Amino acid sequence: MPATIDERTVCQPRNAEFRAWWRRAIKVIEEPGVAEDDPRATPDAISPERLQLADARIFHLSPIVGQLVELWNEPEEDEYGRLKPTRHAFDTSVQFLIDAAIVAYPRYGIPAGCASTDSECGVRIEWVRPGASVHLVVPAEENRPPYVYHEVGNDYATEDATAERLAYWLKSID
Amino acid sequence: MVTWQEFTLRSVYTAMFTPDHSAFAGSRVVATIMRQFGDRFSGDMQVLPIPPGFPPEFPAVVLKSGDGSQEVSAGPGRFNCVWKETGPGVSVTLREALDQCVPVLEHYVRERNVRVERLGLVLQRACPNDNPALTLIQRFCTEESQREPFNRSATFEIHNHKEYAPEGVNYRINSWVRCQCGPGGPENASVILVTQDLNTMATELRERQFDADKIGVFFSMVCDEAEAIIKKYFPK
Repeated sequence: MPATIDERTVCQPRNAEFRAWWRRAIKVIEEPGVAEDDPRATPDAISPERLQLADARIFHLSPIVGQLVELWNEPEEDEYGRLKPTRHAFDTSVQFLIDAAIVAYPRYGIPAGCASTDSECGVRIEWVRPGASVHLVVPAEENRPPYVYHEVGNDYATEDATAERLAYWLKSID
Repeated sequence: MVTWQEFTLRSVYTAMFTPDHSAFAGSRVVATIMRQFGDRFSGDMQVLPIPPGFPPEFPAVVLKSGDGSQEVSAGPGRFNCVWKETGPGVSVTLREALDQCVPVLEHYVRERNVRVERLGLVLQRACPNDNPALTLIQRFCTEESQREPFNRSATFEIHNHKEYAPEGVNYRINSWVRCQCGPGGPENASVILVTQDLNTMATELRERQFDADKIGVFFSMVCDEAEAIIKKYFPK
């Protein structure tokens, strides 16, 4: 499609534009030696350069979300109890993880953790380290608020879950 | 002469444009897509904050399949689902690629109750060719033009745009076809590239709104259109 923006096409913005905006978004310095677009070529939807810039240290997030997807695909229950989270618990826990990763970025990332369901189909995500742990608990139903429980040394407490608090406590144990 | 049957599909972009930018939240996109298509988009995940002034059509969320052949990217003003060829020997029809992509768009619209005012399909096909410029010139230019001025062309492209109302729908679309020369594919071989872009009119945004069912109708229609068009450009 044409090199200039033409509203009759649906092509994506050019790589240079992506890079400029993503520099602002994630506050990183552009890597030297990134090749410019060939103006004769159709722009890709997302350039490889942009994908590099957008490698937002959401490193352990995919595995945790992957665990949640596995739980979501489980049967409703087995002989030990219910396995599959409710839709509310699934959606809310994924949203907390993503929003906490955004809060944390670019200073630090979300560490590796372990997801499971409770007997009522709520979701529990735990980050357990020697001498410290953080637990995100999302009940099955909307009328019960999610919370974050932490134990760091002799300090322990439960508080309403927010992306900011989850990111804060995860930083302290990473 | 090259025929349409010699082309293989390289990429298929399905795009929908969402005017309610403030309703966008990357975390909700991830939850909505992963709940239904989590097994498929098990590859790298990227979600980033949206700073003030961020262009709404830029993606803030990227979800990929494990083999890299499929991808969802979403920003406040645009949601894409993409199929890409991952290597030689994988032959996929346009209909098969759309059968992968379109349900993702439909699911997102149904689940998030998203308003969609514009749709687009951009696809690229490639055909190996030793001399793409000469082949395109011989196909599309008169004998006089072949002698002069297109006698020593290193690269050549034609670009055609139409606006029309296809059968079966009550709106007009843009239809672009661009035939180019280029290296492509894993071996960077010399190829003829054909890019097709079929999309609803930007000038009719206020008059159009596409729910999940209408999205399905649009992509089925443009699939047929795109297949008919390539056959006209490179007939048997």
